[in-house]
Amino acid sequence: MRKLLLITLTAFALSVQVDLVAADHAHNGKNSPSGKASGVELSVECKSAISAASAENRRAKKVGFEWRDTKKFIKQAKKAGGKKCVKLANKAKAQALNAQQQAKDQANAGPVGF
Amino acid sequence: MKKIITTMAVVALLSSTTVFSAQQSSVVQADIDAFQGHFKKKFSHLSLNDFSKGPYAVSEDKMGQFEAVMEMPPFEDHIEKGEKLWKTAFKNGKTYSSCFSGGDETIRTQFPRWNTAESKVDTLEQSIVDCRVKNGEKKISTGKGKLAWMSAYLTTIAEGQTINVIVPEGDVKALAAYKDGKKFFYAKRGQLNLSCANCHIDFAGQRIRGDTLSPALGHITHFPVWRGKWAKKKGDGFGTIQRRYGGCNKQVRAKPFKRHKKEYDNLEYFHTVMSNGMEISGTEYRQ
Repeated sequence: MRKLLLITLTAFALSVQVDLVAADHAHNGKNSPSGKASGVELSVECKSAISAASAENRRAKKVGFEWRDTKKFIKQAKKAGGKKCVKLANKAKAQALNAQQQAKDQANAGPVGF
Repeated sequence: MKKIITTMAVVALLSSTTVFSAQQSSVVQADIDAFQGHFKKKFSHLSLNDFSKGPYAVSEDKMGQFEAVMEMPPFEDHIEKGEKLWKTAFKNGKTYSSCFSGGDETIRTQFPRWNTAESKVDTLEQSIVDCRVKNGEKKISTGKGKLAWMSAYLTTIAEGQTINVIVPEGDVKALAAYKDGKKFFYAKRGQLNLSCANCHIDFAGQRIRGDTLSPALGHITHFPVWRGKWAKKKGDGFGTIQRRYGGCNKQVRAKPFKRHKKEYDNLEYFHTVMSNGMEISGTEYRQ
Protein backbone atom coordinates (compact mmCIF):
# COMPACT_ATOMS: atom_id res chain seq x y z
CA MET A 1 0.00 0.00 0.00
CA ARG A 2 2.83 2.31 0.99
CA LYS A 3 4.69 1.42 -2.21
CA LEU A 4 1.61 2.03 -4.33
CA LEU A 5 1.11 5.43 -2.74
CA LEU A 6 4.76 6.34 -3.32
CA ILE A 7 4.59 5.31 -7.00
CA THR A 8 1.34 7.25 -7.53
CA LEU A 9 2.79 10.38 -5.92
CA THR A 10 6.02 10.11 -7.94
CA ALA A 11 4.06 9.67 -11.18
CA PHE A 12 1.91 12.69 -10.32
CA ALA A 13 4.94 14.84 -9.44
CA LEU A 14 6.69 13.90 -12.68
CA SER A 15 3.65 14.64 -14.83
CA VAL A 16 3.25 18.08 -13.21
CA GLN A 17 6.94 18.83 -13.82
CA VAL A 18 6.67 17.79 -17.48
CA ASP A 19 3.68 20.13 -17.91
CA LEU A 20 5.59 23.02 -16.30
CA VAL A 21 8.65 22.47 -18.48
CA ALA A 22 6.48 22.33 -21.61
CA ALA A 23 4.73 25.56 -20.65
CA ASP A 24 8.07 27.21 -19.96
CA HIS A 25 9.41 26.16 -23.37
CA ALA A 26 6.29 27.43 -25.09
CA HIS A 27 6.75 30.80 -23.39
CA ASN A 28 10.43 31.05 -24.41
CA GLY A 29 9.59 29.89 -27.92
CA LYS A 30 7.93 33.24 -28.61
CA ASN A 31 11.31 34.91 -28.13
CA SER A 32 13.41 32.39 -30.02
CA PRO A 33 14.93 33.69 -33.31
CA SER A 34 12.90 31.39 -35.51
CA GLY A 35 9.81 31.44 -33.37
CA LYS A 36 9.60 27.73 -34.01
CA ALA A 37 11.93 26.28 -31.34
CA SER A 38 9.08 24.81 -29.32
CA GLY A 39 6.56 24.58 -32.11
CA VAL A 40 5.27 28.11 -31.60
CA GLU A 41 4.80 29.66 -35.03
CA LEU A 42 4.80 33.37 -35.86
CA SER A 43 1.34 34.66 -36.61
CA VAL A 44 0.21 34.87 -40.23
CA GLU A 45 0.00 38.65 -39.91
CA CYS A 46 3.57 38.77 -38.59
CA LYS A 47 4.92 36.48 -41.31
CA SER A 48 3.21 38.52 -43.98
CA ALA A 49 4.58 41.81 -42.59
CA ILE A 50 8.10 40.36 -42.43
CA SER A 51 7.84 39.01 -45.95
CA ALA A 52 6.67 42.39 -47.30
CA ALA A 53 9.46 44.24 -45.47
CA SER A 54 12.11 41.79 -46.75
CA ALA A 55 10.89 42.11 -50.33
CA GLU A 56 10.99 45.92 -50.21
CA ASN A 57 14.43 45.86 -48.62
CA ARG A 58 15.73 43.61 -51.39
CA ARG A 59 14.52 46.21 -53.89
CA ALA A 60 16.31 48.96 -51.93
CA LYS A 61 19.50 46.89 -51.90
CA LYS A 62 19.24 46.23 -55.62
CA VAL A 63 19.28 49.96 -56.37
CA GLY A 64 22.22 50.42 -53.97
CA PHE A 65 20.46 52.47 -51.32
CA GLU A 66 19.75 50.01 -48.50
CA TRP A 67 19.67 51.63 -45.09
CA ARG A 68 21.79 50.48 -42.19
CA ASP A 69 19.14 49.33 -39.72
CA THR A 70 16.40 47.88 -41.92
CA LYS A 71 17.62 44.28 -41.73
CA LYS A 72 18.13 44.70 -37.99
CA PHE A 73 14.45 45.62 -37.57
CA ILE A 74 13.39 42.58 -39.60
CA LYS A 75 15.51 40.34 -37.38
CA GLN A 76 14.05 41.94 -34.27
CA ALA A 77 10.54 41.43 -35.64
CA LYS A 78 11.21 37.71 -36.09
CA LYS A 79 12.39 37.47 -32.49
CA ALA A 80 9.62 39.56 -30.99
CA GLY A 81 6.55 37.86 -32.39
CA GLY A 82 3.05 39.11 -31.62
CA LYS A 83 2.00 42.71 -32.17
CA LYS A 84 5.57 43.98 -31.77
CA CYS A 85 6.57 41.83 -34.73
CA VAL A 86 4.12 43.58 -37.05
CA LYS A 87 5.13 47.00 -35.71
CA LEU A 88 8.84 46.34 -36.31
CA ALA A 89 8.28 44.76 -39.72
CA ASN A 90 6.20 47.73 -40.82
CA LYS A 91 8.94 50.06 -39.59
CA ALA A 92 11.46 48.13 -41.70
CA LYS A 93 9.16 48.25 -44.71
CA ALA A 94 8.74 52.02 -44.36
CA GLN A 95 12.53 52.40 -44.26
CA ALA A 96 12.95 50.23 -47.36
CA LEU A 97 10.35 52.26 -49.26
CA ASN A 98 12.04 55.52 -48.23
CA ALA A 99 15.37 54.10 -49.39
CA GLN A 100 13.88 53.28 -52.79
CA GLN A 101 12.46 56.80 -53.05
CA GLN A 102 15.88 58.16 -52.08
CA ALA A 103 17.44 56.20 -54.95
CA LYS A 104 14.99 57.78 -57.38
CA ASP A 105 15.58 61.27 -55.97
CA GLN A 106 19.34 60.88 -56.24
CA ALA A 107 19.39 59.46 -59.75
CA ASN A 108 20.96 62.65 -61.10
CA ALA A 109 23.02 63.62 -58.07
CA GLY A 110 25.90 65.95 -58.81
CA PRO A 111 27.69 69.05 -57.61
CA VAL A 112 25.58 72.05 -56.70
CA GLY A 113 26.91 75.58 -56.89
CA PHE A 114 30.14 74.95 -58.81
CA MET B 1 53.74 48.97 -101.47
CA LYS B 2 50.06 49.01 -100.57
CA LYS B 3 50.78 46.65 -97.63
CA ILE B 4 53.59 48.86 -96.34
CA ILE B 5 51.37 51.94 -96.45
CA THR B 6 48.56 50.08 -94.65
CA THR B 7 50.98 48.80 -91.98
CA MET B 8 52.44 52.25 -91.46
CA ALA B 9 48.99 53.79 -91.22
CA VAL B 10 47.93 51.21 -88.61
CA VAL B 11 51.13 51.77 -86.60
CA ALA B 12 50.61 55.54 -86.76
CA LEU B 13 47.00 55.17 -85.68
CA LEU B 14 47.92 52.87 -82.78
CA SER B 15 50.71 55.12 -81.56
CA SER B 16 48.46 58.17 -81.68
CA THR B 17 45.82 56.23 -79.70
CA THR B 18 48.43 55.39 -77.06
CA VAL B 19 49.36 59.03 -76.63
CA PHE B 20 45.70 59.97 -76.76
CA SER B 21 44.75 57.45 -74.04
CA ALA B 22 47.36 58.81 -71.64
CA GLN B 23 45.71 62.19 -71.66
CA GLN B 24 43.26 63.24 -69.00
CA SER B 25 39.65 63.36 -70.13
CA SER B 26 38.67 66.97 -70.76
CA VAL B 27 35.38 66.39 -68.89
CA VAL B 28 37.30 65.16 -65.86
CA GLN B 29 39.83 68.01 -66.04
CA ALA B 30 36.96 70.52 -65.98
CA ASP B 31 35.59 68.76 -62.87
CA ILE B 32 39.02 68.90 -61.18
CA ASP B 33 39.35 72.62 -61.89
CA ALA B 34 35.87 73.35 -60.53
CA PHE B 35 36.35 71.11 -57.45
CA GLN B 36 39.75 72.50 -56.51
CA GLY B 37 38.65 76.03 -57.41
CA HIS B 38 35.79 75.78 -54.91
CA PHE B 39 38.15 74.91 -52.05
CA LYS B 40 40.79 77.45 -53.06
CA LYS B 41 38.09 80.12 -52.98
CA LYS B 42 36.51 78.91 -49.73
CA PHE B 43 39.84 78.57 -47.91
CA SER B 44 41.88 81.19 -49.74
CA HIS B 45 44.57 81.25 -47.03
CA LEU B 46 45.53 77.62 -47.72
CA SER B 47 47.86 76.31 -50.41
CA LEU B 48 46.87 73.20 -52.37
CA ASN B 49 49.08 70.90 -50.28
CA ASP B 50 47.78 72.37 -47.00
CA PHE B 51 44.54 70.50 -47.67
CA SER B 52 46.33 67.22 -47.04
CA LYS B 53 46.12 68.03 -43.32
CA GLY B 54 42.34 67.65 -43.48
CA PRO B 55 40.42 69.11 -40.51
CA TYR B 56 43.68 70.27 -38.93
CA ALA B 57 44.32 72.66 -41.83
CA VAL B 58 41.12 74.52 -41.05
CA SER B 59 41.28 74.49 -37.24
CA GLU B 60 44.17 75.90 -35.22
CA ASP B 61 43.23 74.00 -32.08
CA LYS B 62 43.08 70.73 -33.95
CA MET B 63 46.41 71.45 -35.65
CA GLY B 64 48.05 71.71 -32.22
CA GLN B 65 46.67 68.31 -31.31
CA PHE B 66 47.82 66.85 -34.64
CA GLU B 67 51.36 68.23 -34.32
CA ALA B 68 51.69 66.92 -30.79
CA VAL B 69 50.78 63.38 -31.88
CA MET B 70 52.95 63.52 -34.99
CA GLU B 71 56.04 64.46 -32.92
CA MET B 72 56.19 60.84 -31.80
CA PRO B 73 53.74 58.97 -34.01
CA PRO B 74 52.18 56.03 -32.16
CA PHE B 75 52.04 54.00 -35.39
CA GLU B 76 55.72 53.88 -36.41
CA ASP B 77 56.13 50.27 -35.24
CA HIS B 78 53.36 49.15 -37.55
CA ILE B 79 54.87 50.91 -40.54
CA GLU B 80 58.12 49.07 -39.82
CA LYS B 81 56.14 45.85 -39.64
CA GLY B 82 54.57 46.77 -42.97
CA GLU B 83 58.01 47.28 -44.49
CA LYS B 84 59.18 43.92 -43.17
CA LEU B 85 56.10 42.18 -44.59
CA TRP B 86 56.51 43.96 -47.92
CA LYS B 87 60.13 42.88 -48.24
CA THR B 88 59.61 39.29 -47.06
CA ALA B 89 59.76 36.88 -50.00
CA PHE B 90 56.88 34.53 -50.79
CA LYS B 91 57.44 30.77 -50.68
CA ASN B 92 58.29 30.90 -54.39
CA GLY B 93 61.09 33.40 -53.71
CA LYS B 94 59.38 36.40 -55.30
CA THR B 95 58.45 39.57 -53.43
CA TYR B 96 55.52 41.97 -53.62
CA SER B 97 57.66 44.38 -55.65
CA SER B 98 57.75 41.82 -58.48
CA CYS B 99 54.03 42.46 -59.10
CA PHE B 100 54.46 46.20 -59.60
CA SER B 101 56.34 48.36 -62.03
CA GLY B 102 58.74 51.12 -61.03
CA GLY B 103 60.43 51.67 -57.68
CA ASP B 104 58.54 50.95 -54.45
CA GLU B 105 58.30 54.68 -53.72
CA THR B 106 56.30 55.22 -56.92
CA ILE B 107 53.71 52.47 -56.32
CA ARG B 108 51.33 54.52 -54.15
CA THR B 109 50.78 57.16 -56.82
CA GLN B 110 50.18 54.56 -59.55
CA PHE B 111 46.82 53.75 -57.90
CA PRO B 112 43.90 53.82 -58.31
CA ARG B 113 44.19 53.29 -62.05
CA TRP B 114 41.96 52.24 -64.88
CA ASN B 115 42.46 48.64 -65.99
CA THR B 116 41.54 48.72 -69.68
CA ALA B 117 41.78 44.96 -70.17
CA GLU B 118 39.32 44.16 -67.38
CA SER B 119 37.34 47.40 -67.63
CA LYS B 120 37.59 48.14 -63.94
CA VAL B 121 39.42 50.29 -61.43
CA ASP B 122 42.47 48.73 -59.80
CA THR B 123 43.23 49.85 -56.26
CA LEU B 124 46.53 49.45 -54.44
CA GLU B 125 45.14 47.31 -51.64
CA GLN B 126 43.35 44.91 -53.97
CA SER B 127 46.46 44.69 -56.17
CA ILE B 128 48.52 43.66 -53.11
CA VAL B 129 46.00 40.89 -52.34
CA ASP B 130 46.00 39.81 -56.01
CA CYS B 131 49.80 39.71 -55.92
CA ARG B 132 49.70 37.30 -52.98
CA VAL B 133 47.23 35.03 -54.73
CA LYS B 134 49.23 35.14 -57.97
CA ASN B 135 52.26 33.94 -56.03
CA GLY B 136 50.48 31.07 -54.31
CA GLU B 137 49.86 32.78 -50.97
CA LYS B 138 46.59 33.04 -49.08
CA LYS B 139 44.36 36.10 -49.32
CA ILE B 140 44.50 38.53 -46.41
CA SER B 141 41.69 40.69 -45.18
CA THR B 142 41.41 44.18 -46.54
CA GLY B 143 40.71 47.40 -44.71
CA LYS B 144 43.02 46.94 -41.75
CA GLY B 145 45.74 44.75 -40.26
CA LYS B 146 48.70 43.52 -42.29
CA LEU B 147 47.41 44.88 -45.58
CA ALA B 148 46.95 48.35 -44.10
CA TRP B 149 50.48 48.23 -42.61
CA MET B 150 52.01 47.44 -46.00
CA SER B 151 49.91 50.07 -47.70
CA ALA B 152 50.90 52.56 -44.97
CA TYR B 153 54.55 51.74 -45.59
CA LEU B 154 54.09 52.45 -49.32
CA THR B 155 52.31 55.72 -48.50
CA THR B 156 55.11 56.73 -46.15
CA ILE B 157 57.89 56.16 -48.68
CA ALA B 158 55.81 57.94 -51.35
CA GLU B 159 55.84 61.19 -49.37
CA GLY B 160 56.29 64.10 -51.75
CA GLN B 161 55.16 62.18 -54.86
CA THR B 162 52.44 63.91 -56.86
CA ILE B 163 49.02 62.36 -57.43
CA ASN B 164 48.13 62.16 -61.10
CA VAL B 165 45.30 59.72 -61.69
CA ILE B 166 44.16 59.58 -65.29
CA VAL B 167 40.73 58.94 -66.73
CA PRO B 168 41.83 58.33 -70.31
CA GLU B 169 40.33 60.65 -72.88
CA GLY B 170 38.04 58.73 -75.21
CA ASP B 171 37.71 55.69 -72.93
CA VAL B 172 33.95 55.46 -72.46
CA LYS B 173 34.10 52.74 -69.80
CA ALA B 174 36.69 54.59 -67.72
CA LEU B 175 34.59 57.74 -67.86
CA ALA B 176 31.51 55.74 -66.85
CA ALA B 177 33.37 54.35 -63.81
CA TYR B 178 34.50 57.86 -62.91
CA LYS B 179 30.95 59.19 -63.27
CA ASP B 180 29.65 56.33 -61.16
CA GLY B 181 32.09 57.31 -58.39
CA LYS B 182 31.13 60.95 -58.79
CA LYS B 183 27.43 60.16 -58.46
CA PHE B 184 28.13 58.10 -55.34
CA PHE B 185 30.00 61.03 -53.83
CA TYR B 186 27.16 63.50 -54.42
CA ALA B 187 24.20 61.20 -53.74
CA LYS B 188 22.43 61.52 -50.41
CA ARG B 189 22.03 58.16 -48.75
CA GLY B 190 21.03 56.50 -45.51
CA GLN B 191 18.37 57.45 -43.00
CA LEU B 192 20.11 60.77 -42.35
CA ASN B 193 19.85 61.61 -46.06
CA LEU B 194 23.40 62.94 -46.31
CA SER B 195 25.95 62.67 -49.09
CA CYS B 196 29.74 62.65 -48.86
CA ALA B 197 29.60 66.12 -50.44
CA ASN B 198 27.17 67.50 -47.84
CA CYS B 199 29.75 67.07 -45.08
CA HIS B 200 33.02 67.40 -46.97
CA ILE B 201 32.15 70.16 -49.47
CA ASP B 202 29.09 72.07 -48.22
CA PHE B 203 30.04 72.09 -44.55
CA ALA B 204 33.81 71.53 -44.76
CA GLY B 205 35.58 73.34 -41.95
CA GLN B 206 32.46 73.56 -39.78
CA ARG B 207 31.86 71.76 -36.52
CA ILE B 208 29.80 68.65 -36.08
CA ARG B 209 29.57 68.29 -32.32
CA GLY B 210 33.20 68.09 -31.14
CA ASP B 211 34.65 67.35 -34.58
CA THR B 212 35.63 69.53 -37.51
CA LEU B 213 34.53 68.37 -40.94
CA SER B 214 37.48 67.91 -43.27
CA PRO B 215 37.53 69.26 -46.83
CA ALA B 216 37.18 66.51 -49.46
CA LEU B 217 40.19 67.90 -51.28
CA GLY B 218 43.29 66.01 -50.15
CA HIS B 219 41.47 63.24 -48.28
CA ILE B 220 43.42 60.51 -49.99
CA THR B 221 46.92 61.99 -49.59
CA HIS B 222 47.53 60.33 -46.24
CA PHE B 223 45.69 56.99 -46.30
CA PRO B 224 45.91 54.48 -44.71
CA VAL B 225 45.60 56.55 -41.55
CA TRP B 226 46.07 55.72 -37.91
CA ARG B 227 42.92 56.80 -36.08
CA GLY B 228 42.62 57.20 -32.35
CA LYS B 229 39.04 55.98 -32.64
CA TRP B 230 40.07 52.78 -34.40
CA ALA B 231 42.89 52.19 -31.92
CA LYS B 232 40.39 52.30 -29.04
CA LYS B 233 38.35 49.59 -30.68
CA LYS B 234 39.56 46.10 -31.49
CA GLY B 235 42.54 46.55 -33.80
CA ASP B 236 45.72 48.53 -34.13
CA GLY B 237 44.24 51.83 -35.32
CA PHE B 238 45.10 51.46 -39.01
CA GLY B 239 42.54 51.64 -41.74
CA THR B 240 42.45 52.10 -45.50
CA ILE B 241 40.37 54.66 -47.39
CA GLN B 242 37.74 52.01 -48.15
CA ARG B 243 37.42 51.16 -44.46
CA ARG B 244 36.72 54.85 -43.92
CA TYR B 245 34.10 54.89 -46.69
CA GLY B 246 32.28 52.08 -44.88
CA GLY B 247 32.45 54.02 -41.60
CA CYS B 248 31.08 57.19 -43.23
CA ASN B 249 28.20 55.25 -44.76
CA LYS B 250 27.35 53.72 -41.40
CA GLN B 251 27.40 57.15 -39.79
CA VAL B 252 24.66 58.39 -42.12
CA ARG B 253 22.82 55.11 -41.41
CA ALA B 254 23.33 53.64 -44.85
CA LYS B 255 24.33 50.01 -45.29
CA PRO B 256 28.03 50.01 -46.21
CA PHE B 257 29.20 48.20 -49.34
CA LYS B 258 31.81 45.48 -49.43
CA ARG B 259 35.36 46.74 -49.82
CA HIS B 260 37.02 46.48 -53.23
CA LYS B 261 33.82 46.01 -55.13
CA LYS B 262 32.67 48.33 -57.91
CA GLU B 263 30.97 50.92 -55.67
CA TYR B 264 33.91 51.87 -53.46
CA ASP B 265 36.53 51.31 -56.19
CA ASN B 266 34.78 53.82 -58.45
CA LEU B 267 34.34 56.21 -55.54
CA GLU B 268 38.06 55.95 -54.77
CA TYR B 269 38.81 56.64 -58.44
CA PHE B 270 36.74 59.85 -58.46
CA HIS B 271 37.88 60.88 -55.00
CA THR B 272 41.57 60.52 -55.89
CA VAL B 273 41.28 62.24 -59.27
CA MET B 274 39.88 65.30 -57.51
CA SER B 275 43.18 65.62 -55.59
CA ASN B 276 45.36 65.45 -58.70
CA GLY B 277 48.40 67.70 -58.37
CA MET B 278 48.63 67.25 -54.59
CA GLU B 279 51.54 65.55 -52.90
CA ILE B 280 51.29 62.36 -50.84
CA SER B 281 51.91 63.43 -47.25
CA GLY B 282 52.65 59.98 -45.80
CA THR B 283 50.60 58.05 -43.29
CA GLU B 284 49.23 60.36 -40.65
CA TYR B 285 47.26 60.52 -37.44
CA ARG B 286 43.57 61.26 -37.51
CA GLN B 287 41.18 61.60 -34.59
